Amino acid sequence: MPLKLDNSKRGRLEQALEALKRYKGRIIDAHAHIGSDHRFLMRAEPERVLSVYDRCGIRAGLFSSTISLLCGVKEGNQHVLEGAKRHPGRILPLYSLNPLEENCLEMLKELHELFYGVKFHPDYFGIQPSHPLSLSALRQAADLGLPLMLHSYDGGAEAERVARELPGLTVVAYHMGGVRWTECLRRLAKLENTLVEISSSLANPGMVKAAVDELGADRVLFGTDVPYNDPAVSLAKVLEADLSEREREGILWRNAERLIGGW
Amino acid sequence: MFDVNTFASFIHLERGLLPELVEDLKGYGIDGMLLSPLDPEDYTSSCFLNHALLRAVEEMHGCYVALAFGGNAQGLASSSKVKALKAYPPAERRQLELAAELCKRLGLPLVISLRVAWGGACIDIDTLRPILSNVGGLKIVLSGVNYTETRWLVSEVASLPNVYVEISMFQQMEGVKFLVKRLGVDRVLFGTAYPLQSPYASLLKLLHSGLSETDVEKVARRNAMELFGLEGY
Repeated sequence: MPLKLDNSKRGRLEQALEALKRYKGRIIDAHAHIGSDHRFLMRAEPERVLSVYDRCGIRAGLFSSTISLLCGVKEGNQHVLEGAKRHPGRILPLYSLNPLEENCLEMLKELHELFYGVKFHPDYFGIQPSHPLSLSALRQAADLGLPLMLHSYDGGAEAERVARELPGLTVVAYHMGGVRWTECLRRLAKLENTLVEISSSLANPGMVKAAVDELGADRVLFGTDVPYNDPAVSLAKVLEADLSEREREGILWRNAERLIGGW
Repeated sequence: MFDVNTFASFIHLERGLLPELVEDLKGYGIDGMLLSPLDPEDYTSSCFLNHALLRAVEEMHGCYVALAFGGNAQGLASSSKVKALKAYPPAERRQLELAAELCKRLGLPLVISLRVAWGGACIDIDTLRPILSNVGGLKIVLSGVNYTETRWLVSEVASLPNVYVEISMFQQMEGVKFLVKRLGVDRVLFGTAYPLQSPYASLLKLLHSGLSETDVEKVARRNAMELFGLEGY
C-alpha cells in the first residue's frame, strides 16, 4: 500500500519497508493459530491468515487451533492437521498437549512425523507443565525430538522449571514472558535448551534487542500469535531493534528453520 | 501522518528533550501529533506537565496538545495549541463526567485513555458506558482500546457517531480493517503511544491493513485534521 508522505524526514519508515521487501517470502512465524475466537470476534480461517501472511511477507507458520484452547485438544489437533493438509508447507502443525485429557499422547505417537512441536497452554489447560503428569507426557514428546512451545505469562518460571527438569527437551517460551519479559529473559538466559518467541501485545522499544543481548540472537524467534495479534506488532519489534543483518535474519527465519528442520 | 496518541514524559519536559522526541517521530514519517502528558498522577503534576508541555510546543510546527484533565486545563485551554482534554486511567465515573462537562463548555473533544500501557491501570466499560450514553454534541476519542473491548465497540460504540477510536493498542489481526468496517472509516484515528511503543507497530498495522489508499489517508491524517480543526497544519 503506497502512502504519500509529504515531509522529507521519512528515512526510518522507508528503510523498514525496504527491509520487509528483502525478507518477503522468507519469514517464519513460530506462533500462530487458525480458528475463531468468539470472545473477541476474531476469525482466522487458514486462507485468511495466509492472505495476511502474504501482505507481510511471511512464508509459513507453526500453528495450533483455537479449538484446542476453547473446546478440546483432540478436536483442535484434527483441525490443524486439516489446515496443514490444505496448505502444505505453509501451515506447519503443532500438537496441542493437555495431560489432563485421556490418551493425550495417542495421536502424537501415531502421527508424530506430521507435527513440528508440542504446544502447551497452562492457563487454558488447567495444569502446569512442571506437574508430574505433564512432565511424564513431555518426556515422551522429547523422546520424539519435538520442541515444546510453552506460554510464559508467568515470567518464564515454568519454562525454567521444565527446561531444568528435562534437559533433553528444547523449550520455547511463547510471548517471552508477556509483560514480565525482563524477568523471563533473566530466568532463561543461562539455560541453553530454551528459546524465546517475541509475540505479545506489547511493542515496547528495546524488547528484541534485550532478548538478543541476554540470550544471543540464535535463541530468539519471530512469532505473531495471529489472530490475537497482527503480524505488524512483532515485525515492528524486530525492525526497530538495533541488530546486524545476520541477527535479524536469524530471528525472522533461520533460527526457526534450525529448530524444526526442513519441511 | 498525524499521531493522536503521543506522550511527553516529565523527563522530556524537564530536560528539554521534547524537540528530540518530535524529530524522532518525524523520522518515521509522522509530521503532526497530539501530545499529552505521560503519567499526570495528581493535581500538582498535571499542572506542571500541562504548563510545561504547552510552553514546549509553542514554536513547534505540527505539534498540538491534549491537556491532562484535573490540573490547570481550564486556564490553559484558550491557547490555539490546545486541541483536546484527556482523561487517564484509573479515572472514575465522576471525574469523566466533569471532564465531559468541561469539554462541552470549552468546545473541545475529550480523549479518554482506557489504558496507557499493557499491564497498567485501565478504565473499564462499566465506567465509560454512562459517559458515552450522554455525550450530546461532545466528541470523544477512545484511546488505548484493545481486544477486550471488541464486542462493546461493535454492540454499543458503533451506534454513537460522536465517538472515535484510536488504534495504537488495538493489536488483533486485521484490527484496523475491523474497526473501519464496524465503526466507519471516518471514526478511526492513527496513534502510536510513542515513546511507550515503537511507532512501527501502528504504522505497519495501517500500511498492511489491506485498506484502500483513500481510507488509509483518512485514518492516517484526514480524520484527525477534521476532528481537531487542523486544516493546513
